[in-house]
Amino acid sequence: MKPRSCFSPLALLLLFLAAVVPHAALAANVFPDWIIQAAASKLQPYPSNTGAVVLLDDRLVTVAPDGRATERERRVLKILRPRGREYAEIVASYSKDEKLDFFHAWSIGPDGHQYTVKDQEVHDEALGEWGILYDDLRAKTVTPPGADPGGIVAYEVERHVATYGAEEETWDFQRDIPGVRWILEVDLPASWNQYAAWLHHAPVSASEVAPNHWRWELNDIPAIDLTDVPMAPSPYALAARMVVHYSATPLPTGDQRWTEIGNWYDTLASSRTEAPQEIAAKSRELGGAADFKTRIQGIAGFMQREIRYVGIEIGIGGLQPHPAADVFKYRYGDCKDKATLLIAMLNAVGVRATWVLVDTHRGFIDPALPSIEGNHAIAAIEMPAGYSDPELRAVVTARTGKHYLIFDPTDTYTPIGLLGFHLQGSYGILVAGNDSQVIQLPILPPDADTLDRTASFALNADGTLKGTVTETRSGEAARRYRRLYNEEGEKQQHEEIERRLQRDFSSFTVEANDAKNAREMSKSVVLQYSLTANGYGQPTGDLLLIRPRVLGRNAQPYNDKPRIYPIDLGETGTWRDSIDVALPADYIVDDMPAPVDLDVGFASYKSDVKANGNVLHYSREYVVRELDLAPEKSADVSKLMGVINADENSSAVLKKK
Amino acid sequence: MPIALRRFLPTVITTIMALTSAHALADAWIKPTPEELQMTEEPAAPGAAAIYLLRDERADDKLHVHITYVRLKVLTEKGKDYADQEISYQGGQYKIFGVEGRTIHSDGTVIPFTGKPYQKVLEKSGKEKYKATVFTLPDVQVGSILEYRYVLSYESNVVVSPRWYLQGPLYVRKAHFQFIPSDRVLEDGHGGVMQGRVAHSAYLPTGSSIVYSPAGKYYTLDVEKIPASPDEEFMPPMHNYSFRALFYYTIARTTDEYWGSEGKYWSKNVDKFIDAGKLSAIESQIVTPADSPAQKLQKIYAAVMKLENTSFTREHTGAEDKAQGIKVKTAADIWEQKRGNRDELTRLFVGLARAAGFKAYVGVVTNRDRNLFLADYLDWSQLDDDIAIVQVDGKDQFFDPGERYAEYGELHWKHTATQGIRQTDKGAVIFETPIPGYQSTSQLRNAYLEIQPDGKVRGTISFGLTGNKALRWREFALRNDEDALKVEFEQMVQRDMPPGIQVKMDHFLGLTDWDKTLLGVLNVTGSMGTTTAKRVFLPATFFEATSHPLFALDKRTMPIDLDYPLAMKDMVSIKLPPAFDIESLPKDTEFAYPQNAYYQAKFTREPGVVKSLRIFAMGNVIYKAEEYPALKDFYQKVNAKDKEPAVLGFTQASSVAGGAATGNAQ
Repeated sequence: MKPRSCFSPLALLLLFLAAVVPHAALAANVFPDWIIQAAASKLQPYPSNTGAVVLLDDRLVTVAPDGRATERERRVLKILRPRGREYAEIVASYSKDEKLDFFHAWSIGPDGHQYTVKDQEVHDEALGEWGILYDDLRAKTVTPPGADPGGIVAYEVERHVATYGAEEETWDFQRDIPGVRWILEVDLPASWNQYAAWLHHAPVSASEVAPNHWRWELNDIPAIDLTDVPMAPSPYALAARMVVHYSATPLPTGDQRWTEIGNWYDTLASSRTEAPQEIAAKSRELGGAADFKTRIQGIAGFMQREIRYVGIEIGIGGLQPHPAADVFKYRYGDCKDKATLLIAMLNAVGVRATWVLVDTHRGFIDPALPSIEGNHAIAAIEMPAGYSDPELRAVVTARTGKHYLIFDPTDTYTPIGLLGFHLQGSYGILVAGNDSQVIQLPILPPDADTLDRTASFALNADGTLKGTVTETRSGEAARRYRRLYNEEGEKQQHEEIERRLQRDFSSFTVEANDAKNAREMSKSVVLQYSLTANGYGQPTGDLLLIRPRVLGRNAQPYNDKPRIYPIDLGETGTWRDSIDVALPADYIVDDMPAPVDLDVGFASYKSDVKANGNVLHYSREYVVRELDLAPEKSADVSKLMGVINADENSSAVLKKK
Repeated sequence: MPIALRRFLPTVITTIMALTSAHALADAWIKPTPEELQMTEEPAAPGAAAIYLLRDERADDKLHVHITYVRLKVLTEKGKDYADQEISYQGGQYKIFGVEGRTIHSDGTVIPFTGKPYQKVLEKSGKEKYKATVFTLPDVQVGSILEYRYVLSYESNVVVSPRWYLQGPLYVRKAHFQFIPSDRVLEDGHGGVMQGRVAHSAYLPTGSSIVYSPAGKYYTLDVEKIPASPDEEFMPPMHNYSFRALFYYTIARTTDEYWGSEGKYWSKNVDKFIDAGKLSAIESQIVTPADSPAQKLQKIYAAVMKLENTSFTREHTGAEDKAQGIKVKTAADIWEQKRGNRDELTRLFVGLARAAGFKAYVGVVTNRDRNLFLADYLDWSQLDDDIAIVQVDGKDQFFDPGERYAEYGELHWKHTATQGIRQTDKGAVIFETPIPGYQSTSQLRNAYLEIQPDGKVRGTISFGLTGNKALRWREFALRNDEDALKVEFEQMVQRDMPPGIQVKMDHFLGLTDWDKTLLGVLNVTGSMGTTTAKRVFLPATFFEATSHPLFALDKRTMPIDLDYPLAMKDMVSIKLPPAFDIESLPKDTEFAYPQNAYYQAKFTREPGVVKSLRIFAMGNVIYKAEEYPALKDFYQKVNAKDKEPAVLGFTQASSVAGGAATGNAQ
C-alpha cells in the first residue's frame, strides 16, 4: 500500500526537502524577501551534532470549492556544520496526480552571495521504492550553490494535492534537525469544516487570518536525535505531527473520524474483491474443509506460497488495490493486492475478512491522530462466534464484539495465527464499513515466539569441544530459518550457521546442518548441527577455563546514558538453553559462576550451572513480556543487559583431579 | 548495455531499419525439454535459486540493434524474483522494443506475457535521459521456466560494441553471443577515422574462444556451464576475476599503441593544465633558494595540503565560480582560489615541483577499492585518480597530494598495488604503484585502567594512528567535523570494549597535522570481568577481548584482499585493588604466518598490576584462495589468544565479590 502522504524514510525526506518559487518572482529575478527575513532568524544554542536547522517551513494548503487542493511550501534551511551539507539537496516529489505547478530554489553562500537556481540545473528522477516494480513517484532534485556551513538553502514548491476523497493534510514539523519557525495555513471554501489532531505535541489553536483561512504557527521545535540511543523506536513513531482534516460536510472527530476513514477505504477497495468463478473454485479446493482453521490455513498458505510480492502503483493505485481477479490470474501483487485476493478467496468459502491498514513502524499510527497514513495493508479474518483455537493467537476484538484474526499475507514465513513482531502492538484501521475503527494489533505472549536450544558436548583435555546442537524454533524465532531453508541453497545455509558461531568460537568447523519443518508452517522448525571448536577450553596454569553457556547470545548493546526516548525491546518471546558439557576424565570442576535470577517485570532472566558427575550442565531462560517501555525503565534495561552480558561471558574453572 | 559510442562521419549514408519485434530477428521460442521442465536442481549449482538455461545475445552494429533472449529456470522461492525485469538504457538515441515473454510451468502449461511493459524515465538532466523498460512475467512458480526477449535499438549514426559479462549471480548452462560489427568509417574520438576495426579483451573459460567468421564478418562466442559469480568477503574487485568478453572499436593495432596514443592526448591535457610557466612565481613564494631539494619538495607538498580539497568538502558550481570571479583554466588558478579537487591539486603539486626543478609527472591509476587495471582492455574509463611521481635522488617517489592529509611520500591504499598510465620523458606508459611496508600504517593503543575498591573501573585509553588508519579518520572529519568524528570514533571504540566498559571521547590531537601521529584519547568508566565464587576473570588483552576471528567460513574460492599492510601494538595496564591476587596470566605467545604476518602477546604481573603487550603485524594483503586455510588459521590463533583472561583470586572475598565485575548477577 502506498498512501498519499507516504512516510517511508524516502518520502519523509522528500516532503522535508520539497521546494519552489513563484514564476513571477523568477521572471523579475528578485531574491525573495521571505528568505532574507528567515536568514536573519536568531538561532538557539543547538547540540554540537546539529548539522543544519530549518529556519522557516511555511506551508499553505488552498482548497477550491470543488474540493481540488494545492499545497505551496516554502522552506529555508541553514547549514551549520559540514555534515549539514546533505540537507542542501532539495527533493520535490510529484506524481501523475500530484503535479508540480512550479519548482525553484535559491541559496545564499556563506559569503552572502545570493544564487537563483536555473531550471536547467534541476534534475528529474524516478524515486522508486523497495519492492515496487513500477510507480509514478518522481522528484525534481537540485543542490544549490554555496551549500557550506553558514550557507542558506531555500525553495518553494506548489503541487496539486490528490486526496482521492480522504481530505487531510499532515504537518510533520519535527525532524532529525531542529526547526525555528513552522507555519501551516489552510484556506478553505466558505462553510467548509476543519479540525486538527495532534500527536506528541500539545494542541495549538489556529487563528483565522481570513474567513475560513486558518493558520497555525510553532517555534523552536527540537530535533529527534537518536544518535547513540540503543533500542530506539522508529523516529517516525517519535516525531510530533499534526493532521488537519477538512471537508465540505460536518467533520466528526476521534473514533468517528477513524470510522469515516475506514468507511472511505471500504468504498474504494471493496469492489476489487469481486471474484470470478476461477477464484471461487480455487478457494473451494483450498479451503473447502468444514473446520474454520483448516479452511483459512489452506487459503493463507496459497497466498504466502503462490502470490509473489510485486508492486505496481500508479495514481490512486497507491491506495486502491488491483482487482482480485487480476492478482489471481497473474499471481502477483503488493500488500493490499494480496490482502484483497485473500479477502475474495475467504469470502468464496464463507469466511468474512477485511483489510487492516497499518504501518510497519510501531507507534507511528496512534489512536489520537485519525489519518489515512500508513505503509502496509494486512487482513482481519472474522472468526465464528465462540470459536477459538490455541494456534490462532493474533486475535483482536472489535467494538462490535466480533473477533478478528489478524493475518499478514505478505509475510511469507509467519504462519496464520501469529503476527510478525514488527506489527505487534501497532495500531491500524479495521476497514468494516460503518463499523470501521482503529484497533491495536495484538502483542503475542512470550510463548508464541520460542527457541529451545539443547546441546551435548564433550570437552577434551586439549580444550577441543565437540558435540551436537538442536534448536527448536517457533514463531518469530523460526521465521528467519524458514526463509533460509526455503530460499537459500546449502552453501548459504551452512555459511549462516558458520557466521552465527563466529561470535562464540575462535576456531571451529561445522560438520553438518539440517532443518526440519521449514516448509511446514504449523510445526516448529528443528535445526540441528554438529560442531567442533578447537581451543574452546583455555588452559591457564593447572586450570582449564570454559564458558558454560558455550553458544547463543541474548544480550544487546545498551548504555547508561540519560534516556528521554521509549525503549523498544523488539519482540516478546521465550528463549531457553540447556547445554551439557562432558568434562575430560582427569578434570573436576573447581569453581563456577553463581546462579542468576532477575525479574524486572517486563522481562526475566535466570541461569544456573551445575556439575553432575563429569558433566557440566548450563541452563537458562530469557523471557520478554513487553515490547515498548517508558524511558523511566532504562535503568532496569541496563541492569538486565548487564546481567545477561556477565552471565554469557562467565567462566567455569576446571582443575586436574 | 551500450558502452562505446562513435559517430559516423557526416558523409556516411546510413541504413534505416524497420524492426517491429524481437521475434523478427530472433529464433522462435524454444520448446522446453522434458528434463528442463522436470528438473528441481542443477547438480552443477546446488541450491541455486535459478539458472540460465540459455542466454542468447546478438549485437548487430549494421542494423543498430542488440537482441537479447533469455531462458531461465526457477528452482526456489527466491528464484521467482527473476520474473521482475528492469532493463535500463540511455534515452534519446536508444530505445527498447519488441518485449515478449512467457512462463512455462513444470507441467508444460504456457502462460504468455500479455501485459504492456512500463517505460520509466529513471533520470533526466538537461539533454541526458536514462530510461528503463520494466515488466514482470505472470504466474511464476517454483519450477517455472521464464522466457523473455527484447530489442535494444539505437540510431543509425551510433555504434555500440557489446560487453558480455558471462558470469553473474546465476549459473549459465549455455550461452550464445554474436557480434556483427559495423564496417563504416568511424571517428576515433580525436578527430581521426577508423574503418570498423574491432578488438576485444576477453577472459574466457578453458576451451571456449571467440570465433570470427570471415565470410559473415561476425564474431561468435559459445560457452556453457558457467558458474555463478562468487560472493565472498574480502574479495578483490570482481570484474577482473569474472569471465567476460569486451569488444570495442579502435584505431590502435596493439595495446602499447593504444595506451601510448591515448596517453599522449591525456598527457598533453595534463601539461596544458599544469602550465608550469605560470607556477614559477608561486613556487618562489613557497620555497627559498637556500632550501635543499628535499626541503623544497616538502614545503611544496605542505603548501598544497593546506588548500581546500573540494573532493572532501564540496565541488563548487559554475555559478559560484562565476560569482566569485573565478575561472579555472590552469593549476595557477587553483593556487589563486585556494581550492581544487583531488586531480587539480595533484597536478598543481606536480607543476610546482617542476617549477622547483624536479622531474615530476602525473600518473592516473585504477582505484583498487573498485577495480583493477586491465591493460588489454583498451578503455580509458577504467582509470580513476591522479597521483604524483617525483624523481628524488634519481628515484621515482610517489605522492598523493590529491588525497587530503595523506602523509608525505605515501599513497592512499586504494592507489597502491595497482596500475595505470603515467607520464614519462618518453611519453605515456603503463606503470604500477608499489605496496608499502607494514610500518606505513600503524596503530598504537594504550590503556591505563584502575579497578577501584568498589569494583568500578576508571582510566584512559589512547589511540595513536598513522598512515591509512589516520587518513580514514582525518578524511571523515573533513567530510563532517570534529564533533561528528568524536561520536563516530567513540562508537567504533565502544563496539570493541569488554562488556560493562563505557568509553567517552575526550579529545584528538593532530587532526589536521598530516605529518604527525593522530592521537585520540578516551576516558573509561564502568566495570569489567566476570566472577565465580573464588575468582575474577579479566580480559587480559582488553582491546581485543570481544573481537571475532576475521574469517569464519570454511571454504574459499576467491583471492583475499585485506586493503593495506599495518602494524598494531597494544599496551594495557590494569591496576588492581588490594582485594585481588593475580592467580594466573595467559602464557606469553609469539607466532607468525611466515613472510606474511606476525603476532606476539606478553603478560606481566607487578605488585597489584596486570600488564599486557600485544603486537600484530600484517605485511602482505593479497592472498590466493589456496592460502586461505593458513591465513584463517593465523587469525583464529590470534583470536583465541586474545580471549584468554587473567585470573584473579580474592584476598578478602567477602568484601569485594559483590561488585568487582560486570553485572555480577545477584
